[in-house]
Amino acid sequence: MQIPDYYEFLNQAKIISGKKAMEHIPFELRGYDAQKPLVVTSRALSESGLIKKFIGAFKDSAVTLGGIFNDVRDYAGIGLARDAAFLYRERGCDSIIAVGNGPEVDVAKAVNILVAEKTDDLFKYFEGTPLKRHLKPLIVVPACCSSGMEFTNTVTVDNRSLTSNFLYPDLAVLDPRMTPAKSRDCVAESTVIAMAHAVGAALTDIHSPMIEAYAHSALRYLGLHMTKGLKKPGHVETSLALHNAYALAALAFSNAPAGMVHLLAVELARATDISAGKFMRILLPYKMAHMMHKKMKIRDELFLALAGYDEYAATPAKDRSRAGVERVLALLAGLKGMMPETMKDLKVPKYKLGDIAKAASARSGKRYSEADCKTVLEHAWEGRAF
Amino acid sequence: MQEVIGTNNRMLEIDLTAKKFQVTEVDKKDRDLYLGGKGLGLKLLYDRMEPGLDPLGPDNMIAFTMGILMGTGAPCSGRFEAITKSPLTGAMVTGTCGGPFGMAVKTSGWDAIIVKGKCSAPTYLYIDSKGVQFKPAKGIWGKDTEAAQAALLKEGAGAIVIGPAGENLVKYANIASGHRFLGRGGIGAVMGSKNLKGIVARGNEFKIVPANKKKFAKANKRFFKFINKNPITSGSYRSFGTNANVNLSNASGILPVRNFTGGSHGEAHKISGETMAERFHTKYDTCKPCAILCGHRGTINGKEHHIPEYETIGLMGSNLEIFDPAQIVEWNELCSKYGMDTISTGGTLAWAMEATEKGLIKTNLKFGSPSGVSEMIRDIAYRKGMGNDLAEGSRAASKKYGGEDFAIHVKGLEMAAYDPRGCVGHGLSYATANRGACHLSSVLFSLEAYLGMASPYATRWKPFMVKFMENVLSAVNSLHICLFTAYAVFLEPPLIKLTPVPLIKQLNQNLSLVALNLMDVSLWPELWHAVLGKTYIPYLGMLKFIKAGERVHVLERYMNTREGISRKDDTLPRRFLTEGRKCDQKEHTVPLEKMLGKYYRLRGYDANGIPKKRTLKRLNIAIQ
Repeated sequence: MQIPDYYEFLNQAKIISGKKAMEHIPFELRGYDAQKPLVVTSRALSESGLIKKFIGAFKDSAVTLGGIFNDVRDYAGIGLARDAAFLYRERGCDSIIAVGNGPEVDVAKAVNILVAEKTDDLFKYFEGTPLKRHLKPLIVVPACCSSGMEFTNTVTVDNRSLTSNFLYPDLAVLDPRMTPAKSRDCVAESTVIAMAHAVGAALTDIHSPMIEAYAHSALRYLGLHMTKGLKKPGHVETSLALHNAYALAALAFSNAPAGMVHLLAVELARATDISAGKFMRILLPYKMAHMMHKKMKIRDELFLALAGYDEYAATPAKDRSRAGVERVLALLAGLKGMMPETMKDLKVPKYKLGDIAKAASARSGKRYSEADCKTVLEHAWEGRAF
Repeated sequence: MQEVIGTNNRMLEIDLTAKKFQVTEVDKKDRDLYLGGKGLGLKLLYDRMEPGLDPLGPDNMIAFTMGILMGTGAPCSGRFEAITKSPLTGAMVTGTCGGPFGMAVKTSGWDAIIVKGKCSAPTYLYIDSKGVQFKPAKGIWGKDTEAAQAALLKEGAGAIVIGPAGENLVKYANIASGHRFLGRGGIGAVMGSKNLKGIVARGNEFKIVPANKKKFAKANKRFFKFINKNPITSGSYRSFGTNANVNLSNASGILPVRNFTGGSHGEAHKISGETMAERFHTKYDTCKPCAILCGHRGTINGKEHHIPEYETIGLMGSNLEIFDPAQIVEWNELCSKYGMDTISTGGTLAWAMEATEKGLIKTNLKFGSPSGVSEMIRDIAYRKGMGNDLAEGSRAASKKYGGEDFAIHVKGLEMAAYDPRGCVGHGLSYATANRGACHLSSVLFSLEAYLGMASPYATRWKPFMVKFMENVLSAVNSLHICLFTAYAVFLEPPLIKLTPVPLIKQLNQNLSLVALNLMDVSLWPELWHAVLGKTYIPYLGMLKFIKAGERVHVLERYMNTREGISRKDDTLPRRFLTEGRKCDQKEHTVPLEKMLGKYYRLRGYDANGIPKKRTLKRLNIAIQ
């Protein structure tokens, strides 16, 4: 293990995970001096009955839900955020609870900026004006197809992203009544996103024992629970374990620079309207193969995280790096038949790859060259080995 | 003048890179299966184009097909079709157009032209019965569509040209033929990417004669009679043009207002066809030959102008909250000169206005204010400043700046001027239409909102109705003949004419199969058979015709699925799925999911919207 020169790490969110975790929310709200939260969620979750379960957790408490804004769908836009902020102000709310995944949490974070900063101009914070103070208490309750991004310090509204340490949720609640997935595809996608983030963080140039600890734990959890989670998406304990893994991966991701797989997948999703998770599944093996091809260092600890001490110790030091990659590939092989394996399968137009590589390289601040991005994309498109 | 009996059966395949052309024959089997026009064009490209190619790259091809009826004197048959891969949507796009070009090509002895490759310098093509000449377009490159056409028409009877928008690869640039346009999907940008400014055809070298003159004359007579009896084709459209739709749409709550946030407006009458006819003293200005006469010119401040179509009025008028018809006429003419689709331009401007209002972009565009719109239209055409981003269309702009939830498009194509919350079957049609948010794929809005023949909110039989109408209209576009003739063909035969409208509505709501069988569409296939001298068997011939339409529609869908189109793309903008409108007594959204699965089953697609192998086999579509 390398001794770090310098690093920073922040995880501001308190995490409560386990049986009846949601029943703790009223008590936690009191700690923030809040008693009238606005709930931000989606119609789909309301219709699935999950919101009923969530509301049930408050029945013996003194907390009054200020309102339930359930208009969120698969896209977080400023219009929704303003509508929800209007409801927040109208009902005199004092805190926000996001129930759901990416878009619900993004809308909740956007509402938080609007109401805490008493503004209607959200985008000035995206264009350089810094957030300078704590916002209103924000609680997230991931549900169903979460990918862990709810735990991060980033908000994405109208395709623009803002990262600030004030955007970490104050509390994240992992309750097994909310975490079971509705389908195998849902588990597959969440798992692969977490895996890509954990691997990306584990392989980053920054040597931070904190990032490594979170990333490695995430991979360990994924390795242990992924197969069962895919077999039984509704299994309560497994889904809770996987959600813990998603949280760990996301926190590692939040503290590390975004990896190439994430950057390319986001750009591909934007260009094709296909979910980023599907692209992460395709790109991750090619990114690792590309690293090996370019003789870049893949840390042995990746193997340690995935295989455990016994196997790690039994493997010669020179083989551990490759063995780590093989372990990741073996995990991904568990998704066979559930997710496409080449971009050709997804019918991504090849002529768009150049622009996508350029955009991803620019987004990385040129940490990844356009040529490297394009090489990985082209191999992944053709399904061609390095 | 030489006579051509039936059809030329010859086509030109032009390679711009090599500056060569070859003459090939239209396959007779393809002619029978795909009729001509749109169907034949799609089949020609299906056989020649690889999926996944860059729409603005040299490998993309454009097919121009003239149709069987062109030149025969059949009513409203002066239309041709263009087919290519759209740079706006990434899927196939087909467009139909009046104007003199189609007739000039057909009477030069050609049924179709396929263009591929890229010229090394700006070029235009001269076509006559002998073939093609490649001519430098240095003198006309940069000129607007009017000036460029004026130059080319010195050499022939009909021309198509692109304007500056096409040259600058604006993703919704169109192609002009006379004062008519191949409007949608950016076919003009594809021509621009090939450095092809225009094509001029000499024309008047051949006379087209139907093979069975007697039967043709008989069918033609009946056709004219129907057109002249129908209150839409001989009444409202003839008197006021397609702008007759403004008052109808406003009354039925499907007029786009303020980027589709509303469905009617108190000032809409100011931009209606009736008002314009009175205010601008309009007169006919139509395609040739035409029996409906929907195109109009009018006089504004002592100068003659083209009166915009309903779509332009809807998208550049009420949708921007502009109710000054003279202003819309000005913007319409700007778009015409630059060579830009007014539907996409209006839709993109509306997105920009809402994005500005919400703080996503900084422009001086504002709903209800004409200020800055003309300048932005010019900036789009020349790709300057924010115009450069808007030239990519509302989908691309919203992906860059945000605002995807109010970018009103399907598959990247901006929506036409009918709000589907007031006609949910048409909403299904928008979602599933092959080229994107196309109003011409099924025109169900007319049955649901205008004619009262189907409930606007019932969903039960809508998938069936959409499928039926798509099949019929695909066949009509393959003849080729104007879609507006559908009003006459559908509604004038005695059986449907004598059935009370409320009964048709009840049947459509509860037993659509019976209602649609009341519709006798035999006139169209009768004409096709007469021109080619084929025997028309009553009823069976009509079923064969509808099946050909189904084949054309499914082939286009199959080609699109090879480009990555699937269920994820068969959707509507979020606004229609989640937001109600104040103009409705009871708020309505489009229950798309309720209809989509059933539509796929009826079409023979799998759950992901991909045509099944057995569907393709049933329709004689070879799997590639």
